[in-house]
Amino acid sequence: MNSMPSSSGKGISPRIELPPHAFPALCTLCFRPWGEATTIPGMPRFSLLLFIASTSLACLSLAAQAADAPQRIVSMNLCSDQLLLLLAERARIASLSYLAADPGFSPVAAQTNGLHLNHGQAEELLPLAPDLVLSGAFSATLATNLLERLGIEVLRLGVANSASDIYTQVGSVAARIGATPRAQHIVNTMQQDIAAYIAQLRAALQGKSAVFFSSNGFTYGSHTLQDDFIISLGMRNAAAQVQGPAQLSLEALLLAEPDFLFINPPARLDKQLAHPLLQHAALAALQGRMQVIELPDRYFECASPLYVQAYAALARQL
Amino acid sequence: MTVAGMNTPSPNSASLLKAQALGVHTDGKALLTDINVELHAGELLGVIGPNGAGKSTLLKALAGIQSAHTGSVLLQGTALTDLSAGQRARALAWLEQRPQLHWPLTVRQVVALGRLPYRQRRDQASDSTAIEAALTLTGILPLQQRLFPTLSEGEKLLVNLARVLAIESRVILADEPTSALDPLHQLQIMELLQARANAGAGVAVVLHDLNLAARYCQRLLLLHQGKVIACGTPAAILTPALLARVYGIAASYDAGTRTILIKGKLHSC
Amino acid sequence: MKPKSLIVLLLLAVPLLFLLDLHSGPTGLDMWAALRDAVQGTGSIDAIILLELRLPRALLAALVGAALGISGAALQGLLRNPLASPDILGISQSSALCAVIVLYFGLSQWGWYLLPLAAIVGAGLAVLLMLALTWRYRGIHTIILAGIAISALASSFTALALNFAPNPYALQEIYYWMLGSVANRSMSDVWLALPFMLVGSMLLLSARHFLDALSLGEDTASSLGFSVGTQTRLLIPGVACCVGAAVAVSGSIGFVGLMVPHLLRPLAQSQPGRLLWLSLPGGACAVLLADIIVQNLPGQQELQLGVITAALGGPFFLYLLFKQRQYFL
Repeated sequence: MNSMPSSSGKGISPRIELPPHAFPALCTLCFRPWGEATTIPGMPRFSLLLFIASTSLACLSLAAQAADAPQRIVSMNLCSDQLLLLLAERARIASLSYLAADPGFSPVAAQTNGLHLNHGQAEELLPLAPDLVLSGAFSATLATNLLERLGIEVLRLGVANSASDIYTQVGSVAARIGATPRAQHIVNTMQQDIAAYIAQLRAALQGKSAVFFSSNGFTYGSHTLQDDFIISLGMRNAAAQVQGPAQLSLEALLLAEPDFLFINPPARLDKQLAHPLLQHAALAALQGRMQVIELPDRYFECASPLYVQAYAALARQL
Repeated sequence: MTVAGMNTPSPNSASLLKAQALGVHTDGKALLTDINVELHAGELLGVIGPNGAGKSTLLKALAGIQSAHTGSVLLQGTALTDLSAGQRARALAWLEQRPQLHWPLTVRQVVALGRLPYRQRRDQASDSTAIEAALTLTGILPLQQRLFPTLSEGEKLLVNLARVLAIESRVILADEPTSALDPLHQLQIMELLQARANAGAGVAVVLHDLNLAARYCQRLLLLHQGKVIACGTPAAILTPALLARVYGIAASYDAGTRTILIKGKLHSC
Repeated sequence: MKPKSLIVLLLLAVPLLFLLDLHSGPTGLDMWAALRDAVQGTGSIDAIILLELRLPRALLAALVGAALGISGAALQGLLRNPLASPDILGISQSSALCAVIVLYFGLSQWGWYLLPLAAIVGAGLAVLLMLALTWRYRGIHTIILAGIAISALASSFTALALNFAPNPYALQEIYYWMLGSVANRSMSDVWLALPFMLVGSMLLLSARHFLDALSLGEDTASSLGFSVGTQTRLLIPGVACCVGAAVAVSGSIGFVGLMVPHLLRPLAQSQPGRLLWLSLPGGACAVLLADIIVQNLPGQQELQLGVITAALGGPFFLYLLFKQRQYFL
């Protein structure tokens, strides 16, 4: 596991760094004996030569820099999969996680056709010779640590706890892979769409209380994206007294008497145990007093434009 | 010591238990072949024979615990298989060779288990009477609250005998009740069984001790290799010839003192 | 203290612990106010919490405890061994395996009864397997070894099944099935389990005299008028129904079937038949007590019931083995 891969061309190519301004300087040294440049009449021609030389060399170095942008990007995490598909050209995507192709989990399943899928194993990624690996902060840590030890750059994406976190993360990933303009466009669109939904819904929701109730009785307290969502609409998070995701007992949920219950609808064969609470008679008893809105977890799980869908879904069901 | 109190069954004594052409086999090996034996009321029948003769198997078959593969067992004219489990349990009592008890019950609780065949009648009074009588007869009344595992081997057997007596059955089948007991307890057990026979029950006892068999039993059934060799009075069975043939020992029987003198092994063994 | 008075205490403890369990919960609830609301039908939140959350939980704790208790007593009586119990013999784990298969592969959509039925079938198969494995010699060693084998087989297949199941929460749920819980149950779970537990208990109680007779061994029991085959055929479905119903609604709660009969044996004066009766309230008290402890322990997340019963039952089992070691030699 600790042995370096053989340098058979499938290994890691070293990157040659040369500062762009070195070229013109070198060239002036070269041109000197030629043109007897110190005399006045030859000056404009010489400068022109210098200029052409340095700009072309600068352009070359810029091109080299653009070539520094990773060409074989691997993503090992559903969130980074989505970002990668959004920001990078297909040719630069070396592999996505297998979850991306599963329509049950992934909103971008249709786009994964023809792309290589990985299962988070370092062994399957090494043959792809990746130059950048995107991963979640807590997923596949052993594999990512190993890849790092082998000299491959790993970019770990943290959890987005607010809308601005989303924008920041999209921006930083784009910067790393050289897709900043596209990211800028995405972020702007998100901000506009969200602002529009807030303007539309705020009047009806101002001052009401809401709480998230996900699988296995998990709720989202303060410092979470879900909390940010609730606050942005002028509502109060009934679970704000806890921080982060936490278990909420049915009793506490009932006592909180929220106006809105945001649930993660069970998918496929999600079993009773994760979602029995939704069929529980206790919740049925509250039906009249509380509106149940389906907001799938996946709208909040990743730093991606999918977050806007949460507002859309809410607007649709109100 | 006395030989009084032993009745010879009259030919008119009711036949309580009868085995007809009884055969039992296991894994292709015959344990009992064509057994014909009759147990009468008031009779103490001794079942004797060397180890592996099939004595325990015979008793189990007579008790209905071991099913007969050929032939049948009749209880007062009715086939055992035609009786209900309850009827059979009330009529036949079986005492195991090495009685086991899996839970630390008291003496009285063990004896009370003998009343299980009567549980449908819910007659607590007659249950108590029977238990008390059994305890008194066996002389273990003072022990009734003692825990069974704390008793001596002799006392344990007396408790099991009391359980059997509490069933108040017409037939008692006892498998080697006297093995592993000291002479006093041996005599006690045999006298109890004899008293029961005198009271009208039919008692069959498997015995290894030929002296006990000779002293207490009216008739003896000699088994060898799953077959009945002979059945009759002790004098008729305990002949040197039969003893030599079946047991492989040189022995002689004194009808006067009703004792057997074992001289030794036969040279041919 | 006389056994009779201890029995009375035991019977009184059941409603007492039941009320205590009703009183325990993640939020402070004025139980009496809630009860008043419930009776008056005001439909307040407190009443809903009491009737739909706490009541089913306490009921289930009592029922599951009773079912496991009587099953343990029946198994100990049948196998004539104080170490027998549904979880040590792998019966609970087998039951959980079948329940998991039905649940996670979506089979229960074809009928609510398929889940408890599968759990019961699983339990029954384990008992049959146990009897088959120990047919020749039913000593302490063979029983325990057979139990270990069945238990390990069932547990590993459960994990395997959950691994293949199309469910992202599978790992958390292995935890639930292995350790058991009565949290977040509703009245429909109570109605689901109750009929099977009743049937199972009745079957077991009908064999109580047989278990008494069995103290003397199978042959003597036969001579006392019991058909060993028939009675065993009553006991097996009885145990299967009780354990299966309990596991279907609460996962695999361990050690109750071992500890309760053992602790109550002196009260029953060692009589297996009487022990069956006593294990009903005894088991109910044990699980109610464990549930009360679980709900009142400080900490972020509520522990599974099986953690408490194992924490108490494990050392107890070791103590039992230690005490019995003389029989091993």
